[in-house]
Amino acid sequence: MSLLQERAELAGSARQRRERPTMTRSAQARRARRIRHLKDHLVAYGLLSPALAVFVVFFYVPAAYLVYISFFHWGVLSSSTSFVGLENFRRLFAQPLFWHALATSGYYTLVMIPATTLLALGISLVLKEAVTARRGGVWRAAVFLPHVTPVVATSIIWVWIFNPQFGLANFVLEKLHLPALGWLDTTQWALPAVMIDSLWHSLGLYVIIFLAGLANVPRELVEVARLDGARRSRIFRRVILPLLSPTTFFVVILATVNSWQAFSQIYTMTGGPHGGAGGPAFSTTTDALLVYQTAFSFDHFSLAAAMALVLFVIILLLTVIQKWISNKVVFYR
Amino acid sequence: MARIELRGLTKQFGESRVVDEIDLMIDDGEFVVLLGPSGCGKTTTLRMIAGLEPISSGELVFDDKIMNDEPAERRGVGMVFQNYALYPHMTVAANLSFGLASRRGRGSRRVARQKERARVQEIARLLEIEHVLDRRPKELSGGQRQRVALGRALARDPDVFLLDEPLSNLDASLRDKMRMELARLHAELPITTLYVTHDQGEALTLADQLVVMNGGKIAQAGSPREIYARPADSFVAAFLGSPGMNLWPLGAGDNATHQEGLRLPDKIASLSARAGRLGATVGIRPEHLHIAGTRSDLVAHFTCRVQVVENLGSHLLLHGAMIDQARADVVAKLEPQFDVGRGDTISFGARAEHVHVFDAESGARIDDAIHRGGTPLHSHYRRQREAVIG
Repeated sequence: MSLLQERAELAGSARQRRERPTMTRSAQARRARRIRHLKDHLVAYGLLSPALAVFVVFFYVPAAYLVYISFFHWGVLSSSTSFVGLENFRRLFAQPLFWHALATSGYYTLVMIPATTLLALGISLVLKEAVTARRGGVWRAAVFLPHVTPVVATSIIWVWIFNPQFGLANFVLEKLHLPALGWLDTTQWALPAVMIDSLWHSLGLYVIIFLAGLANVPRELVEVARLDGARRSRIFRRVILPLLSPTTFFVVILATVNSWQAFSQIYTMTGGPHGGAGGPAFSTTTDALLVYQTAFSFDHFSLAAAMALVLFVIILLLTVIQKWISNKVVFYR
Repeated sequence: MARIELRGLTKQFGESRVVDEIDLMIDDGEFVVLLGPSGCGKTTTLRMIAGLEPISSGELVFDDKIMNDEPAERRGVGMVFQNYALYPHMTVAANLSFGLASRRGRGSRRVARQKERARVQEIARLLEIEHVLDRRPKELSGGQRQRVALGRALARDPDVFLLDEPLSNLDASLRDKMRMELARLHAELPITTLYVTHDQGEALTLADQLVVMNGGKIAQAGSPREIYARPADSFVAAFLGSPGMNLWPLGAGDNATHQEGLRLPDKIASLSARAGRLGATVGIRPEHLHIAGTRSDLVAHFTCRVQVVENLGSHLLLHGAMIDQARADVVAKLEPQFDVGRGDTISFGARAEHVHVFDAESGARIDDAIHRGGTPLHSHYRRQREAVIG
């Protein structure tokens, strides 16, 4: 080894000696950073945990358990639980009432989506000027009020309104020289009566959502369209509606989910605790109602769980389809 | 194209008058700039002309036709908004043709579409945006958006072109470029144009007629050169120019001629006798201050102590205060080679025609008798009206 190499090695080992404390310091700093990071996370999860616990206990665990029992024969009070595989689903699909309920839910949803969306949009357009005026808050509250009243209470009032003998609905029809209807007593009009109640109850929420959407349409765009010589209808079609499409999409999704899950108003209006809900002759038996009746009236929880799972898959599929359509028609700024 | 006349145009929101009895005449093809600080009513005036804001009182006349109750879409107005207001969900081509399609008359739709396409191409060529016709606004740069906004307003061949601070969202270099583009555009398409801005650079370079507004009123209207040279009041004097005019109190009565710090010739100092109870204000623009002794025709002498020197490349900007009168701040524009530093004392002078005298209370100019041989200054509007109507 030459003297030169020896010197170089000596210098190298001296450098290493000098650098070691530096590396140790940086490792310490890294460790301290990791601990700080961990502490931050612990605090964050600690603060989140009450809400998370509620979610897990009342949502995720029951949902997971629902999937589990749909493959078993399971009773609330029975101790024997046996695995039955897809038997619950086979029985379900073989049951005509299930298909009837599915069709009723589909019909209810198909009517409710356009009805709520169009009506809410129309009302919000009419109210747009009113709510931006000085006492706009009063209008907003008035519109939103039905939505915050309990469904069961208002549905009982609607039962009275639809009473064939002395209800307000037939009184109005009579005044308009139209024939009186049997409403909740007839298979033909029971579901439309429920729809009217649902519409009245849910509209306020959708109107408020549309009003928020309309407030986000820049005023200049409407003004420039006016200067461009566009008529009101053209401004609405070509400027406001496209810019409102994310809101409309949100309302459609919400209306779809709420319609498929509609239960309280149907249960209250068509039978309530006295039994017979979903009548007359199953004309108002929707999927959600059938799930409830199968579980709590017929005491067949695993079949109800299978039904709920099918309902979940249907809503999920519908949402995916709507999302796919929305990518083509919804414009996000 | 149209000749526009505003007769006592007023906009009132509740008790407050945002625009207060404005009189203005705009000739056919003229480029008029409304200039003023924020909240002076210039945008509201523009919106009243566009038909987007109802007129509280007064008359708006386009070519002898009163337009007060005419809806916006029938005024033949094209407008460019500060934030461009492009339809974000449409392509550039659709943005440009929206107005044309909205006004489609009866007849073959195919022919109408062909005409619209041709017009869009023509406008795109004019504004050099042919390559972005298929893009949406969010895919464009600020300058391109600006061009599309201009193109959309021009596509319908408007009689009146209104621009509301159209360059304020652009960066400085692009703003300069677009300013020149606008000047070129107006030279090629001489449409009656009203341009609102708070940027005096834009105002002075673009305007045929400059209208300075303050507190809902027109402070002064005229050519940029005229307004710069002879501001009608101390507000215009201070507002126009970068930096604005130096303004110093002159005092009232006998004190005027013996004002400490500033020595004025008797002819100018005696003007304070015409001023109201608060006396007069003397104004000299920073670029009109010369080092004492460099010229023989200098009057209005004073000495100042330098506090800050800003080197702006093309010139020096000197900030200081008058000696013997510390409250009188001084700003002077000097040649870049001038050697000066903080704490130096410099004596300045200005030529008589560059010394402006205003009433301290009303702000109105009171030295016109000297400079104009005793003829009172007519308002620009009145002179124009006389020229047109007789």
